Amino acid sequence: MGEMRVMHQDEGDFKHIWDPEIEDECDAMELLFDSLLEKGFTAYRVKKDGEKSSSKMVGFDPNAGKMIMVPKMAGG
Amino acid sequence: MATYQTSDTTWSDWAYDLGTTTATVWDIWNEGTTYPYFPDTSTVWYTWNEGTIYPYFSEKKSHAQKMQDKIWAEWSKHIKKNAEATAKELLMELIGEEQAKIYEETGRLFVKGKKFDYIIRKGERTLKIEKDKVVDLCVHIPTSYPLTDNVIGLKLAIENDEDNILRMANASNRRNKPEKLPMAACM
Repeated sequence: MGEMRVMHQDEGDFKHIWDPEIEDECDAMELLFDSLLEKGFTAYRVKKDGEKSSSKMVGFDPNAGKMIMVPKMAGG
Repeated sequence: MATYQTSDTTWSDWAYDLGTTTATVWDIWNEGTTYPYFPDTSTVWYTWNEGTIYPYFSEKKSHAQKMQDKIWAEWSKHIKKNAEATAKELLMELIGEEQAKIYEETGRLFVKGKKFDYIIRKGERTLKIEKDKVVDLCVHIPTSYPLTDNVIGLKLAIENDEDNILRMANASNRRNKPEKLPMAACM
């Protein structure tokens, strides 16, 4: 199963899960992924269970496993 | 034989004689006698409210507003607390339970970048650690997000996009590196 955590100011984050085998679910997640990137979010693929390493994603990958969507950063 | 008039017929006769209507009477009354005080119905209504009734409603409205603000403030606090707890859970999934405990105690997370090391501090500026100096960096996600979400965001950004973070950050207070760095969670 894929898992996308989208940071949210009132909720901490929203967890979206999908089955990489189901095309409709993957399509819906890709739409969400793209719309978040358009809003300025950055996507990171992360390992589950506290394993070290993460990588930036520029396109949706239904087999990415777990990903975190981070809102746009700005300098203070 | 006496003729009995009703109010309707009296009004009708009077209006007929004057060739006028209620609207005109109202106008004449305003214009002729009381104009300086009550030029039109909306002003009469406004004056009546302001003078007699308004302060009562105003007080009630103000009380209701205060109550609403209080409830909203409590609710916001509750939401923020839950949002922060959710963000901490996400961080724990990334760094493990043991390190999450250290983060809970210290509010700090040590992150290794390709160029520098960093200590991300919850609710404070991030510390960039150079060879013998430390620098405060101000860079963050929008402040409306939970503080620990900001820590996660910075950790991921430093690990993957360090140059961009250094470009965006407002650097200040460059100083000598202390002998011992503050305790922080790490991976």
